[in-house]
Amino acid sequence: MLIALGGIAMIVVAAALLVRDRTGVLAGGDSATGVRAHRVRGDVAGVLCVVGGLLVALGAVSRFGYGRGQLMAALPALVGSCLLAVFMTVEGTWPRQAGPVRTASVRARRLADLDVGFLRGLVGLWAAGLVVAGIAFATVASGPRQASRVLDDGRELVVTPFPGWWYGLPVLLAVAVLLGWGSVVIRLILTRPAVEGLDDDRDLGLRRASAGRVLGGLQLVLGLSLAAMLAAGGRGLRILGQGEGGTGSIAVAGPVEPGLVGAGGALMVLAVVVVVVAVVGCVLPMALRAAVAGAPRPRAADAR
Amino acid sequence: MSDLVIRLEMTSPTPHYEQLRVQIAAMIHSGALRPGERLPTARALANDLGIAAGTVTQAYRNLEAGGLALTRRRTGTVVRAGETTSVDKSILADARLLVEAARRDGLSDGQIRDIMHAALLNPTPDVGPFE
Repeated sequence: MLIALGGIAMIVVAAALLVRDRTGVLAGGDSATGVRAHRVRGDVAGVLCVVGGLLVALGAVSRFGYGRGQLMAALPALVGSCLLAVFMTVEGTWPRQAGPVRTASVRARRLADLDVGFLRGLVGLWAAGLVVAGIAFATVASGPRQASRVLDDGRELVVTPFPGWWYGLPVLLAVAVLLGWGSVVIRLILTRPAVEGLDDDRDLGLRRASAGRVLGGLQLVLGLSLAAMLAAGGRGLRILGQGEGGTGSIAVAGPVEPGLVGAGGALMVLAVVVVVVAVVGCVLPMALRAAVAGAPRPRAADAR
Repeated sequence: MSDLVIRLEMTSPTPHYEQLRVQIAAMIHSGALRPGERLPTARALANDLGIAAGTVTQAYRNLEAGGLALTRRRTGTVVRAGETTSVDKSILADARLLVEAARRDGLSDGQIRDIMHAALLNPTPDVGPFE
């Protein structure tokens, strides 16, 4: 309980930081300082929120148990929701112009200007993978949380936990929520106030960085969820294929089924590949962006 | 790019939506905004300027009423293509010469506007065949 309270306290502190930022400094002040201050507050609030969210989840797990796995299945979505909540607040709290004379560009901003096609592709790929894997595992499973194999002598090998609909349903719901929420945050990035004192290209650079962080984090959460599902499913199939398992508390041994062993192993390898790609997809764009920071790139409309 | 920047004076007696309309109309007439080009969404421009979205919507509506813009459900507000958006180049050139001459004589932009408004107050002469 204390852990959860500590987590809630961290989230409150993060919210206070961001609210203070809303009344912050850009109006009439130095825009570079304002941008830096906003970024630092956003980063600190982000870390506080994610750690706080994890602590709340941990407190809930220790108080209410694992919910027979559903809470664990929904954990990536909870962390993703915390991340998106922070990004949403950071984007929604950029200081607006408040002086007697205000300026703005009448150049329309488009989604293509954010230049995040690669990350959007990864988000779509992981989401589609989760849907396909969720449906496939639910079809293969012999129960909500288990898979089984009937041996020639009529005995049944059972393996649990297995990502049947018991785990798959909350994960698929979480995917839908995260995708919807993510698109709202991206829209917010496009329409948030331009930073006073910055030209169009530098302001667009800030928006690209924000969109990259949002989609990078989102694809990481979805990718890790997919990897966990593939690994759990692959492990279950592999155990069944090796002829191991049981009926209730009784261990049963059977002949090896190479097809199942191979399929399970392939799924586990695929899970590792997904983790690597998701982590690289999160880190690489940030590193590249840092490398080319300050170099203005043309808008999508100009490039045509 | 600076020719696409709007400047809003919050303390001016001219309503904000009218300031927006006049400046966007000038950009369209001068060719800085071309036919078919999209204007920012009302919410985005309002956020940038720190004003209500309804103010920008009003300005867009007035531009539309003047035949300079067109709002479509899917594409948003775009500069309208057609004769109404293209001022005769010679008239634009004459106007620029007039402004240059007035500035050379030491008149401020506000005074030049007053002079133009005064000229617009004159009843329009009948335009007939050249005599």
